[in-house]
Amino acid sequence: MIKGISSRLSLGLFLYPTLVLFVAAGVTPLGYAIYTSLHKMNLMKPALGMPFVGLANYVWVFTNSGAIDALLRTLQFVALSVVISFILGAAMALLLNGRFRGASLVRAILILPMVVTPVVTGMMFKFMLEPTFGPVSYYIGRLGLGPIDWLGNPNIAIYSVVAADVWQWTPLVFLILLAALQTLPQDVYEAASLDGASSRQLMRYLTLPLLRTPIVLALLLRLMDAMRAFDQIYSMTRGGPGSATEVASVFLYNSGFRVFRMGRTAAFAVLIFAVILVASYIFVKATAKRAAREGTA
Amino acid sequence: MRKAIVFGLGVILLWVSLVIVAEEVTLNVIAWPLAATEELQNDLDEFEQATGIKVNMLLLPEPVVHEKLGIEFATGAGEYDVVMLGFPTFMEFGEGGFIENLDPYVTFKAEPEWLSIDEFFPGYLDALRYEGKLYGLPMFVWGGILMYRQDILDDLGLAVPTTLDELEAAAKAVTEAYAPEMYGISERGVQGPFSTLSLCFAHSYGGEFFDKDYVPQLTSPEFVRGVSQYVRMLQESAPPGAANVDWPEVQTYLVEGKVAMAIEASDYVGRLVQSDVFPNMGYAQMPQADNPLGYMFVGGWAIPSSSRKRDEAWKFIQWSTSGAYQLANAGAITRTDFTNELVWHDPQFRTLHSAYVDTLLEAFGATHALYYPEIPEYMEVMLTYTEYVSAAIAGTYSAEEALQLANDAIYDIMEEAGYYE
Repeated sequence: MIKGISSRLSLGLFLYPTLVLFVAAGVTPLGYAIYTSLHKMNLMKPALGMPFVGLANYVWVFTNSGAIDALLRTLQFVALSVVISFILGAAMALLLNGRFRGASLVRAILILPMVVTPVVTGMMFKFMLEPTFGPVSYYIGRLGLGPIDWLGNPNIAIYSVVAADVWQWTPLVFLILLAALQTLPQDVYEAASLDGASSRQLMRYLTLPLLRTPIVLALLLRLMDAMRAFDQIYSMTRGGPGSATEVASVFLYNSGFRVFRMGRTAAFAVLIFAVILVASYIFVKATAKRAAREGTA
Repeated sequence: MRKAIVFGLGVILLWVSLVIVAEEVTLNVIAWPLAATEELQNDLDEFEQATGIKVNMLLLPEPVVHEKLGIEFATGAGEYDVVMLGFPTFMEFGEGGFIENLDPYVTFKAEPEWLSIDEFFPGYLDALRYEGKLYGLPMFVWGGILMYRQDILDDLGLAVPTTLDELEAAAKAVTEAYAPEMYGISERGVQGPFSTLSLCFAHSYGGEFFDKDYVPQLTSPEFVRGVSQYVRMLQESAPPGAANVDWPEVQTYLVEGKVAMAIEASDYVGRLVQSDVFPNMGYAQMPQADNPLGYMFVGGWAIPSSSRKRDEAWKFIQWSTSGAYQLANAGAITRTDFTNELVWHDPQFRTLHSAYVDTLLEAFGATHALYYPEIPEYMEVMLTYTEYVSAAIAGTYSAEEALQLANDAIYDIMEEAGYYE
């Protein structure tokens, strides 16, 4: 506390400005997005003004086949990407949790994908998967297979963009879980081992409960990232072929920044935000309840 | 006394510096990274010496420029003084009142040593008009031509195609003979506002995008025939992944010798000349059915209405599109996009580009830029149309199904835009 200034005044001096900034930078844009979503707004037709249309834009989102398909495709993309990256990241963390020669180097190499710009990742995968001159097609051809149209076949393209996303963000899960594993108390493991617990029992009754919070964190971060994935997908396929990889973010980009229909775009964006918010809340709440029940919160 | 002198000198110094700053005008220009603009960036000193006006030029890909300008115009920020637009977006921004009508500038503020409006290719100048008003000056022009591997056609005893049926047959023959090392043809199949060749095929068979009341006609037999042929040709005779192919991929396939033919923009020639396949390349007018394909593109300069330096901007776009400037830069083998007809009749230029100059000139003269929907809603309509055509190429729908779906979606767009009240 600064001499001569009361604690209340200190609070006001140091906390409130931060709160104001947070509201200005975080809450205000969200508020304006909600406001915009209740109006008809076409940036290219200023003469039409911005008439209030109530929930018409939200009705459009739920009745437009393109928007519905984009939502469903997003759920598919998120489910695949989050589950696969979590399983791979957790496996890597468990495997590399011990001490061994070169551990630091191996771990550093494994987190490299995370530092690559997503657009570069997308372009890299696009080049590698090009069916005529990409290296993946070349080696598959040497095996007598292919060519496989990884990005042009509507039945395969979604899995190709999932692969790029998993490649890039599995290291994030790996980092979170590895850090958590390395801070687990060893005495409880020693005690359990002395009592004759098997490695499977140790995993089930000790490791997983103790890792509950970092697991929730990793899954939540992956969920939020996957819901917003845009750069890789756009640079790989632009949402194509047709609309086979047009997830919500790509649909939003086309609607908002190619066609400038801001009212609808805002409505769709608010809905995506609500989905993420509700999913996160349910997830955290359910996990906290279980943790409280087991006494591992 | 001393203090008064120092104070007085300070005031004078401040006044002089303010005058100097006020006198220095700087234009902010945003454009696409092309051979024409990259060369222009190197010549900006020349404009500054002639006019005293500095120019900052920012080069960004077309989708990014379009996105930035949409926000810029909507907010009236006035950040840019000269902008580069593709011909469809002149309608979009002209209708919204975001860019200046240049007719008064041409009539009352022309710089005679720079502006010769009659020297631009007429079809390309018309493409920058909306409702009869001129909104831009053409900076680069691309005509559609057929580029083909003469050696491959000779090997197979094939004549250069002059009809769309001959084109399809020749592409199939090459694919059957050489795939997977080489395929017959490559064209754009990706969703995008400039993936318009399928539209040209439809138009060549007599199909029209809209009737006179702006009701979409994508399900007419003529339209279906043209698009079906385009889709079939790419499915049977193009490299795998045709639904994701954009112009960079078409160019790469040609340069790498992966395809024997492509109908594309004439500026490809400037890139082919530096490739290993160039000695074997031939150039011809685009094949057609009943009508010419009319495939073309023009990009031009526009002046945002929000700019506070419109007169200076007008000087810049006149200078950079002038016959004199274009002639002075006509020596590069990679440049085939000049908008001034004088350049194309210059003996040195014709000698440098002798292999294809008359083909390109004929293509420019044959262009009629009327095959595309001439409406401000072009972007939304074309994104919708090309999404379904891309899906047809990928095999998600048949061409007929895709066109029915596109027709219905575009009808909704036009209805919402108020065309049917």
